[in-house]
Amino acid sequence: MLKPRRREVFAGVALLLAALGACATADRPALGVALSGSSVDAARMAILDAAADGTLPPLDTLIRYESGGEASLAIRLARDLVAAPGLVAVVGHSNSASSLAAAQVYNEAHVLQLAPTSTAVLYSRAGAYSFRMVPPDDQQGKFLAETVSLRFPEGARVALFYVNDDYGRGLRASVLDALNEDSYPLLLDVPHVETDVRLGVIEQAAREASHVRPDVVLWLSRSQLLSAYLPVLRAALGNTPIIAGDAVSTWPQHIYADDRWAGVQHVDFVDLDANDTLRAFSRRFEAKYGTRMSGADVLTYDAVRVLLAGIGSGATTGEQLREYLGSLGRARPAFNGLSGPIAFTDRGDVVRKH
Amino acid sequence: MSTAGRRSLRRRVLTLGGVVALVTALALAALLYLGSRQQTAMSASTSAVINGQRIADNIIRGVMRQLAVVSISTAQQDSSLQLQFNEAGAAVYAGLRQYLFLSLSIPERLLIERVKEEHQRLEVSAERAMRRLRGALTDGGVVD
Repeated sequence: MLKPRRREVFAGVALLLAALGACATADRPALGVALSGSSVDAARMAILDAAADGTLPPLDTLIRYESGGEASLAIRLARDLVAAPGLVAVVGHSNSASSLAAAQVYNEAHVLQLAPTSTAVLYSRAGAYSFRMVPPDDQQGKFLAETVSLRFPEGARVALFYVNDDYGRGLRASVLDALNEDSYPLLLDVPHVETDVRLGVIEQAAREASHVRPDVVLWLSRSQLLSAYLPVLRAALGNTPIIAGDAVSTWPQHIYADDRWAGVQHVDFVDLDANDTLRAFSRRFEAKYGTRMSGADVLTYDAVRVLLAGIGSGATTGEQLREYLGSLGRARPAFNGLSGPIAFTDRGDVVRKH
Repeated sequence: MSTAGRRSLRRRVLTLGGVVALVTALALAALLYLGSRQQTAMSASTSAVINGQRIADNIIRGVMRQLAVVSISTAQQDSSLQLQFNEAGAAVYAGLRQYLFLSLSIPERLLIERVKEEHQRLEVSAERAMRRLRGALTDGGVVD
């Protein structure tokens, strides 16, 4: 047991250290991450790689795991993150609905938000501090409609399934804008909600699809939902091709090797087999985390690296980071990311092709 | 009192009067400015309340239209009803998304998201019911 005098000295030293620690924390910028699944590992890997190659600036990192894609959860996470001292930027969130919902919290706090995979058109208007690593869905909708017209003869019957949230509604609207329905009649248009995967609901949707006998299914929803629908859809429709939006690209690639996923093609913003650098990165990621990475993981990795580069260049506030991102591809060269050169439009959308 | 003394006193009285007049004018200007700022702030608050109410009215109107379409669907099979349902749904969604760009507290934002998610569920259930009925009418089947 410490004597009273020693105890006072010990407490004093502890307080001094705590005060010094608090000063150091407040002086350093902090970078937040709010994501789910293997994307959290990709964010960690970006920080470790920056440390290894000597480009990690002095900063604090706050990594929060999103246990679901609900907007309400994202708002609570954003509230907690902006309360952290020195927070200048957040990489997040998991999907369009959650990124949009959290965007105003960040914009009001002048914290830069960089969403790796959020494609909702509305996000372009989320605020001056909201950036993203993917182009908006109006471009993806056009791309999906073109894919249908290139791969299927005129008269091919289309069934469309979409998740009834910011992502699915927006992408559906842009697909229907671009799809020539006289040539490609839309015979089924079925919304669902992310939280409802009851078998009865899925079976009804599959029965309806079987009734209209589509030549192609457009899936504008997420991987986990397609995974739930797929066995029932396959039983009802056989091997009818399924063309899916980018939200299906968030799962690690080996899952798609499963037989049930045969005939499913999806939009991806990153070709994981595009070059030696990506292939080597993929092997390293798998060796480190025991899972194969997805395109979303590469985008997350790049998002963290570009923000670290911004902080490393001297940006210590959200405003300065916003200026840094805006200057890429203009006043300074585009950032050389794994997914390709990174630069942003005036609305914070990355300049990228599918 | 000498002439010079009277002049000095007059100058002092005039200077004092001028200062009082200037201070009064400045005070009045400041009061007017503050009053006008308060009025502007009050007018902005009133506009925000009216705007919020207008958005809420549009949302309620859209939901009521959707419910009306669903109730009619039980009696007749008409593809234009689906279009009306979708249009009303789009109006509700647009209204809910207008709130996104307003300055709101965290509990208010959470409430809006809850309303949005409930509406998404309602729409999906309503559409499923309509499709079920259409299928039953087409197949001559029974709606369970």
